[in-house]
Amino acid sequence: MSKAEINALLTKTARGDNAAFEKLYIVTRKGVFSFLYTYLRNYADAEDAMQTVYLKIKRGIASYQAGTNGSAWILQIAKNHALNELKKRRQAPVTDDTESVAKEPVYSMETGVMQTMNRVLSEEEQRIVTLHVLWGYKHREIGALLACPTGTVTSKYKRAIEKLRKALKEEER
Amino acid sequence: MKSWKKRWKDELETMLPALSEEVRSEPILSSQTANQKQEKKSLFSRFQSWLALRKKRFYAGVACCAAAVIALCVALPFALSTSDAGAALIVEINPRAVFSVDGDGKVTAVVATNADADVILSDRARVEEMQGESVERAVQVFVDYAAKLGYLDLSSQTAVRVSACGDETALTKTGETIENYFLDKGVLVAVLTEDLTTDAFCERAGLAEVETFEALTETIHELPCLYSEWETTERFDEIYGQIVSLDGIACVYERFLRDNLAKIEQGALDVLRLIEYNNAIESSEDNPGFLLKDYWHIRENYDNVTFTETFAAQMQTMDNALADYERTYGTRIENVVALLTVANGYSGFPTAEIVALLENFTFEKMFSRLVDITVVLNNVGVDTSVWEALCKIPDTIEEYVQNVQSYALLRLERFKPNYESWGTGEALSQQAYSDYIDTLIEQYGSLEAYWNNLHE
Repeated sequence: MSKAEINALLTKTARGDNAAFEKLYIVTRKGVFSFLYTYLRNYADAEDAMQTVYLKIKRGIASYQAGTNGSAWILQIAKNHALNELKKRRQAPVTDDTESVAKEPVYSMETGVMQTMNRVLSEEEQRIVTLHVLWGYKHREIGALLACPTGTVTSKYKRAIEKLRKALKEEER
Repeated sequence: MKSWKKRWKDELETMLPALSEEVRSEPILSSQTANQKQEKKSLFSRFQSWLALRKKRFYAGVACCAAAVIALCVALPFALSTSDAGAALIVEINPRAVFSVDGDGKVTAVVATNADADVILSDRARVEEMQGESVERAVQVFVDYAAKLGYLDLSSQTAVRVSACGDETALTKTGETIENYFLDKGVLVAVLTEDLTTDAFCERAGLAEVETFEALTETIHELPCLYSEWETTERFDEIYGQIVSLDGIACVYERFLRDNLAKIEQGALDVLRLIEYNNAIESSEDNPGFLLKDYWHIRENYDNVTFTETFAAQMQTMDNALADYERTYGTRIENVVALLTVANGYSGFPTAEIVALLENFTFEKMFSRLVDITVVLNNVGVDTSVWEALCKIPDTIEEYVQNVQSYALLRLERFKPNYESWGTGEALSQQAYSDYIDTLIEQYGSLEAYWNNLHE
């Protein structure tokens, strides 16, 4: 997904174009889901959160200023929602086992890159990898987004990739 | 094998659901809808603001016109000179490289974007030949070198794809030049050309997405020439693995082994003959030795003894056979232990086994018998040091480049007969090419489908 394409789709959506919104969902859903997942660490929660984020995009599209950084705008909505969800989780009373079973992910992530990432990378590393690989952000931009020096982002990204490759290689054996 | 990035994206593609009905049915609260809400303001307040707005709009209109004129003045020269902005091309055979071309149609950068292209571009002289050259000529150099290295198998169906972004003239000229290159050689190779958007170009070339053509040109110029150097430096061993584990080394080694098979067979026979002669000497009744009776012991210790005529003849035969062996294989067999060591090589890996190995040769098979193969090849005086070095995964980028360069030289040697066999026939006509393309389209539905079929 290119940033220009996202900006264009958001601008069209702001004019009431529903087809553009659907296209926006197709091109950004992987990035939105993975970004949310780095906060919520649970498939079902991330999926629910993703749908809510798109609902918020639809409802708040009038506040998007055409030509501005659309992906940052979407990520901001996603981040705020994820942090709210985490806050709610902290405030929620401890649930019994039945409820937590109901929260189990619908999609089984027993294998695959996603599962390996989840296992070997920290939340921050996952976020950096997601922003770089799925959103196409440069390390400098990620640094600005996460309030972190570019050098730190670069070294964290490199380390994360090394860990991930090693783990994937071991799994293949 | 798919990269982890591709696998990750594919996984997400599969696991993520469609937009929920709740979200889909939610009306868009667009800027227009928001404006309609504003209309709920009272008529009076709207009238008041109308006056103020008129003033604002007037000045805003003036400002807009001025801005438009300035913008036009600034942008017009650029807009008119887009044809001079140059182009970027992707050339794909299996080796895939990206060329950056300036407004004069000259190549300003060449970058390998897969492991096979590293083999071509590890030849610095070849890269220098392409730099500063017209794009059509440079791409022809690339394709010709790929053919010399055996990346174009003209004995079976093959194709070249050229995709471009920017000035279309570069694409047209290059496509025509490559078509003519093959026609002159008397072979039919489909040449696909495609004009791409910047996004599609980046995706096809395996580059990080950029928004503008200028950014793309900048990216290409920033990248080092070899794929292993830019794709991420830590991965060169993996990229090297891609070269050696595929047809790569096994394919070239097979030829190397086949070429030396007759030599190995002859070497085995010669060693066998030496063993027979030595056995005859040891078992001879005329042998003057008491305990140690081999040829070397007798020659060293019984030089003053007069041999019987028969025994002297046996010793002379062995002298001659050993001298022949040394002349042929460059190895002097100094004693019986050395003879048995050489013979052991053949008993551990007899010629029959080599022939069987060659019937279905793979890198894995080659690698499992590499020590044995090396021994028998060394026995017959063949230098295997290049192969031994190639089979070692490089530890540094310098070693990688060195190995890939040696590998390229071996491929050149291996595929030289194939390359030289082309161009011996008559050049083909444009009509023959058009007919060929029509046949492919009829058979596959489109050239794109043909390409996909070749690269599945």
